Amino acid sequence: MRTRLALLARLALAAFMASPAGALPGSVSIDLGSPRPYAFNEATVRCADGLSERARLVGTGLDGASFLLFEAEFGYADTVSARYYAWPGLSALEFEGFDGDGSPVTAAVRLHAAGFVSGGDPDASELSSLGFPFRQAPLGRPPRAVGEDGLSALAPEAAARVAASELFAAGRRPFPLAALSLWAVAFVAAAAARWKRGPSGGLRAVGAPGREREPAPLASEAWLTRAAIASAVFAIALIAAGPAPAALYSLRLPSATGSGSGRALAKTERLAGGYRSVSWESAAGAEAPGAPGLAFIGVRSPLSAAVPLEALLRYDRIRFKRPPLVALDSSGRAVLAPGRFAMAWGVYD
Amino acid sequence: MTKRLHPLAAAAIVVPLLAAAIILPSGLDEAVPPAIAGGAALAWAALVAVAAGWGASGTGAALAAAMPFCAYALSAFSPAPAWPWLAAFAAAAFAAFATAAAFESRKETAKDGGKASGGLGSGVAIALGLVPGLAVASLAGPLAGAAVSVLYASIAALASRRRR
Repeated sequence: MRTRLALLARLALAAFMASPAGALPGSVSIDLGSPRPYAFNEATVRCADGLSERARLVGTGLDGASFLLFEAEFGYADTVSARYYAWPGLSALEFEGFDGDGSPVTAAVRLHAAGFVSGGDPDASELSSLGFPFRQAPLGRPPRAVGEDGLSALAPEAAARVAASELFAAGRRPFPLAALSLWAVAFVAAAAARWKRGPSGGLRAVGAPGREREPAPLASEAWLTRAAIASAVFAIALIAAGPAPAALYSLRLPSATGSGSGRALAKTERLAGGYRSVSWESAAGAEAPGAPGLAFIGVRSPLSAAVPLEALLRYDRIRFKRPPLVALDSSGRAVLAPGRFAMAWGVYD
Repeated sequence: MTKRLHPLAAAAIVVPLLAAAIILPSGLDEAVPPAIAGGAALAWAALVAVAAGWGASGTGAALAAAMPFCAYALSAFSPAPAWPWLAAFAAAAFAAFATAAAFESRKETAKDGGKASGGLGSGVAIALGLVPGLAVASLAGPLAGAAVSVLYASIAALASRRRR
């Protein structure tokens, strides 16, 4: 009898383990494809029970440092295509998420086992040798053009320093500053108008003769109410104007052989989707967008995930100072997540 | 000595805030927490009001003058949705005004008939009005902070009215 009960218990346990609800973390698979260093790659994550809620991809370097590389929230999906940035020192990827039943699942994969080649590429070697400048955010407006002669005489890192401290500036937005100036002028003018009217106009002197025990207010209730309403109107207008759009800056470095030509690197600015693309390049570079070359890139997106990965696909290789986090926007497009100002070197094919 | 809202005093509140808005770029490299981004303008206005020894009405005017700057800073520099935080700051400013008014009415009804405005007490009253709502907003969310500030302002207004 006891043997039969034990057998039944084993059968019940086996049935439970085989059921979808009892799926183990091992049922998640990660297909890395052919990952390349200094590039955005795609990993396809599958789970027998589907995936739900949230997906995260964490990369661990050879030095043990971990970076969150991909994060997305969704309802349910059979597979998740996670875009992630790979650098030569990336050794392992770990997936964290939930299966279709909401149970947490994890999976890890080693990149070198998937054919990840971290060295040997001349572009990658060139990028590895470049350093990043210290950035002190410029306060003024960026210039419309810079002389190519001066930049081509500089080493790439020195040119990057010029770009980071002079060219990659957020600039000014006219509407909020105009609204704030108008508000400041209006407030001071209103105070001046009441001041001119004197104590009878409601601005009575504190401590005036005979009024020591009933001090006068600095502003009457009616004046305060009007000021509060006007203040609210301006505040709402300023909030409605929204933040400055995210920006993707790039400086295409002039080749050393082109020095002395006297040309200028012209600024090209356009609003693309939810971000502003600002690039400096010479007329020759603009005429031949596919020509090989080196670029210094800056991404300013502290408040919103707005710069899509597609905007960076023009670079064959791209080396970020710090591995960026990729997120999905509301339309499912892969974008750089909001964060600190990011700097990168890019190589054109 | 007369204490009135002189145009220069009004300029002392708004001109430095406007200068800061012009000097700073329209977007920073890194996001600033909303309590700091929006709180800086209100803190400046409260500081000027306390230093100048203005009473509740002067404090109210100063805080009203700073609110558009607060809204701009929230929108430009803070990653959180700006609307709830604007509500939290507006409610906190109102609570500070109500607390300052309650403090002023307490001094008016005092037997010695002391000065109604200014001094450390006024500064403490303004801080007591501003801080609770903003602290709750930072810890539990801006709308919770706004609710606390409104409650606080109601209690202060009730206390002020009962004294009168």
